[in-house]
Amino acid sequence: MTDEIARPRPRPDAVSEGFWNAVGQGVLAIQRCTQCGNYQHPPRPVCCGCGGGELSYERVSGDATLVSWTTTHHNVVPAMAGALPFTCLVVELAEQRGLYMMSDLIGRTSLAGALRLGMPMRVVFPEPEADNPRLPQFAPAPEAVR
Amino acid sequence: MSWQHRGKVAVAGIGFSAIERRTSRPLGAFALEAAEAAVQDCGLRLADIDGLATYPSAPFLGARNRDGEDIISVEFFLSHRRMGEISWYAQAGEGLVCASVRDATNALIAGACRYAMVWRAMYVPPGTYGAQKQRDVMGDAEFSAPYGCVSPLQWHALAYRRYLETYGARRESMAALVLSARANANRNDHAIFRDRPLTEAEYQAARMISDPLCLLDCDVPVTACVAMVMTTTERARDLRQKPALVAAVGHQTARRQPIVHYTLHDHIESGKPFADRLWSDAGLGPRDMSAAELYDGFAPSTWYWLEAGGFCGRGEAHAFTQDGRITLTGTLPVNTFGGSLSQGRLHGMGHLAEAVLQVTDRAGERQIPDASAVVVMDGSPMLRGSGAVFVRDDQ
Repeated sequence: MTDEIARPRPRPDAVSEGFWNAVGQGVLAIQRCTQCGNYQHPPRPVCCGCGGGELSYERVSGDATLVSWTTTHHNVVPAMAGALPFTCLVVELAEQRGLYMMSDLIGRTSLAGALRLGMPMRVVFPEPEADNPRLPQFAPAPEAVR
Repeated sequence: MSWQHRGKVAVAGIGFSAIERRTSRPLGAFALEAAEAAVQDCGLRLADIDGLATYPSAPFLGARNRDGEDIISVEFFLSHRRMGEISWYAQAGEGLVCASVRDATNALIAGACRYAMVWRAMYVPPGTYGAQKQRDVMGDAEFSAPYGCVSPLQWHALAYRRYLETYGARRESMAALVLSARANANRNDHAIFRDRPLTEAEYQAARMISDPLCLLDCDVPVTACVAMVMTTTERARDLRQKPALVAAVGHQTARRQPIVHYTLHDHIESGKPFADRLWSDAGLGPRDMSAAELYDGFAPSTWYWLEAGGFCGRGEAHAFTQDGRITLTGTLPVNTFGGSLSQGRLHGMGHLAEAVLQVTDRAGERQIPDASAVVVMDGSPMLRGSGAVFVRDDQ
């Protein structure tokens, strides 16, 4: 039963809280350098491109393409055993080359068979399972799985 | 131009402990067994060792990091009463144990010590190897662990899927590599699977771990230690065994954006410039190698190294490894000792030991005739990619 799983829970700090605050509002926001415009994820205290220290969280489109996926059968997170096997995936955000995010398809398992390299993906904000954090999830864009 | 210190430093001796799975003996006993065997192999005593180098970290979540139990750090040997006075040591944080070979090589060239011992000790913890048990996660893990993606096996599965999809390869093709490694391990007394043959049918029926990675694509955790003694080539020539000369050694230094996993692109793009540097330093190329010991903590890493190292073209490793090409009698024997897949998870120490044994004609029933140069590529290649080229002493 997927509603009995206990996902690892993010403990945001000063660097990452902008991301999680936005997620709480149902918004996907990625850290961006105000100086050179470089997006970076996961966030860092300085820009990895130019060293700039002025970074802000900027709303992104939520559009992405599928880079890869794996369906995990091994019990790597005992508290999530109830969801096994589950599919983890990596997407590249539309905003910048090499700007990757992770996701899973827990709760949307039926879509795992439809995954194709490079397919359009879109961010969704599903209602969290009991006692679990709210997470952005990427699912195949509706037009890709007709 | 090749490296100015090419061939000036050598591996003079090797020592293996027993290789076991879960065991009641403490890891410290394995470490002393390996160290003692390594110095005896050279005709030295522990008291002659004055340099120490290792990559000590325990590769599983929840390690206690207690010396002698789940790690063997430099401190373990520093405080051992049979050791002599230590004038130099180093603990590598990156690059697996090839980085320690680099550290020791540099120290010997600089004259910081006379006989350096390099080792790697590995321990199998009770329970599931690498399970995420903590509920709260911080830092980069905030962006991966909540999705249940916590283990290197999942990162590797992601890169491997990308490889298969990009190049139209099939996971079934990995059987050639895995079966060849097992056949080699069946000729190696220092392999956990010495007496366990493997069939194609068994490989194809292996259970999925994180698809497309199956159980037999993952190396086998063992408790063991392997140590080797390094010194200058000049001194090594006076010791008991023939020396294996270090023609090149180093680790990858790729720059990359922050990221929570390792992509296929990262593996190849970081491995290639590093391999090119290794070839340039050694004054040799992939075609000069008598054998290649290419890291296989997860089997696809060997494919990536074959491509990054220029043994075959991009996207070709899945086909290159077929038709017996990488077996002991093939044109490029790979992982001649069984690899981590079938010798056991020694984090590259088994690969290094085998390269040394091959270029000194000590590989027994798996010896490649007249092996003149053998490369080790360790790590996978983005994650702690490192390596060395060992050559025969012509003198």
